[in-house]
Amino acid sequence: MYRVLALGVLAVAALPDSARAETTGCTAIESLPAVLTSQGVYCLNEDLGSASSTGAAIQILVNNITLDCNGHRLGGLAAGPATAAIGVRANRRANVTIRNCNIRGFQTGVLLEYGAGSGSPVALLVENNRLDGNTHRGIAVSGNGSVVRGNVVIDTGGNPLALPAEAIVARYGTDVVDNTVDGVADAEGAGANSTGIHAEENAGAPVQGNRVRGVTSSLAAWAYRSTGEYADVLFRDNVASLDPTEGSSIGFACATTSPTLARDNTSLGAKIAFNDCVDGGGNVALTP
Amino acid sequence: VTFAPGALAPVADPASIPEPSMIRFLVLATALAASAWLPAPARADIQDCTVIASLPTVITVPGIYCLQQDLGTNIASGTAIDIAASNVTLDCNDHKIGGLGGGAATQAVGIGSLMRNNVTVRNCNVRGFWVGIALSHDGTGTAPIGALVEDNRLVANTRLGVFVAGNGSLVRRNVVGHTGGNPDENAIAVETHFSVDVLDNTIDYVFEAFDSEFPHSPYGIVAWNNTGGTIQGNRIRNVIGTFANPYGIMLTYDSHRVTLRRNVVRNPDGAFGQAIHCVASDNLARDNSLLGFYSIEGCSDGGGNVHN
Repeated sequence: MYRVLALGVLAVAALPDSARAETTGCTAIESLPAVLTSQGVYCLNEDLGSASSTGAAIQILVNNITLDCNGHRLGGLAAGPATAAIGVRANRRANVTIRNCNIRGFQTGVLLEYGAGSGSPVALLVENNRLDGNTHRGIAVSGNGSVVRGNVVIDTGGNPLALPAEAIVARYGTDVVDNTVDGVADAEGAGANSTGIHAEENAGAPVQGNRVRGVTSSLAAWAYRSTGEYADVLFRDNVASLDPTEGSSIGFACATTSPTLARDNTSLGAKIAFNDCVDGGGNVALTP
Repeated sequence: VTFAPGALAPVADPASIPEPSMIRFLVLATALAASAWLPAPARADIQDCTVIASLPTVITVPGIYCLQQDLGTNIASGTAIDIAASNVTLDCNDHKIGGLGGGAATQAVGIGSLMRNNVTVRNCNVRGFWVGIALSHDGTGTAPIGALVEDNRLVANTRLGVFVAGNGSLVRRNVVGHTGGNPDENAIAVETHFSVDVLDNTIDYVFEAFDSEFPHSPYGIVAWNNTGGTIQGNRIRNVIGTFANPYGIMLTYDSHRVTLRRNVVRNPDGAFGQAIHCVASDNLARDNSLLGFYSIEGCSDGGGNVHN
């Protein structure tokens, strides 16, 4: 069906083998693992990789951190599919930004956990990253006033330990806006669930304008899911596209513990388009 | 670079297609020129990068590359910037990659890659090539992943403005103008293979070469093998077929569960074409605005599609 046109490649000079990041005035991270113990702006000036199967490639131990990878790769594929390593991690740290990173092959690509109970905005921001081939979760963020936006999350899952495959997990007041999720699957025979975007205890936060496709599982596949006791979130303007041959698939699976409002969403191919959601109108579905 | 676009069969029925008046043609061309591709909002240049200083060139090492001046080439075949490595970002800082020197019959590609993952091309002004940007596959059914083509300006490319293949890819916020003129092939502003999202692009003036014997339809957006992608928020106008029927958005060859939403497509007066055409009814069109006659065919109607 394709017509392949072979073009001659001209004799040209190869470019020098140095490639540096755009951001100046930052502290360059030059090797992994790295531990950030001082506030400030950090960047990558080159691709970095780690073969460690535990710990975090970049561990953030203070508040007020910006990490800009300038499109460079943070690679963890060398640790293998059973890796327990995290790409970038912060625990109970506020005002952390992760952007322009290309994070591959970790158990979780970006894990920023603050959790519940903060009296002021935690303000975690994860934007414009590319997450590829992370075996459990692509991005997991929790903390009020946080945003996950503009990321592309590809081929999440495959952990042989039967951990669920989840491209994006948002908890405790994290907005999820304008992300693309393409490919979420459990490992063959692992018997785990797969989720595109999971809003857990994410009361009051919108999940809006996202595109999720290619979620498969030997158990259950959900493009979008809200869970928890405080699941009164908004699903709006999202697109879910699932394989109609999937055994058990739901486009928008809403919690029964508290109302999740769904409006103006599109669900294509899922066995169940909208499950237990409050219909705010404008939702359209094509079911097999 | 091997470039593997889909071969679209001519679908013209010349007898059914009124010829647009020359006056209208001139008005459209004048309006296009007057728009002058307004500059993007001010922003800082990418400075700390590997500078591409001349064309043609080949990128063989992952990293961040940029232009700090306009560059041009007279090549009529091959690729001006050949990205021969994965994990490459090319930021032209709005500088021009000019290929007009290759002539009207050029077969050269402006920026190309073959089977490379995670390639980003942004802020490039690519003019006068056969294909402006081609991030391609090898035609065997496998494809690269994670291409990002954003905020570029593609003008006066004779066959294709942007060609992107690969799951998890995005084509967004590009301006693609004045595409066409190659006498032997379809003119297409944006063509994608596999699951690619096409978001928020402006496409203005796609035209066939004036060949009444072998007409080739012009297209705004063509998507092949797209499973579950989204084509949203694009603005398409002046897709003009004189001898062959023009199409605003065409989903073809094994595209399923694609959402077409909030696109604005203007049908040229007098031309018989379709604003949106789907190859299968499991693709959904909703909330699109059609300026001109209502012409959505083959898609499921998700509501909210209107025309004037």
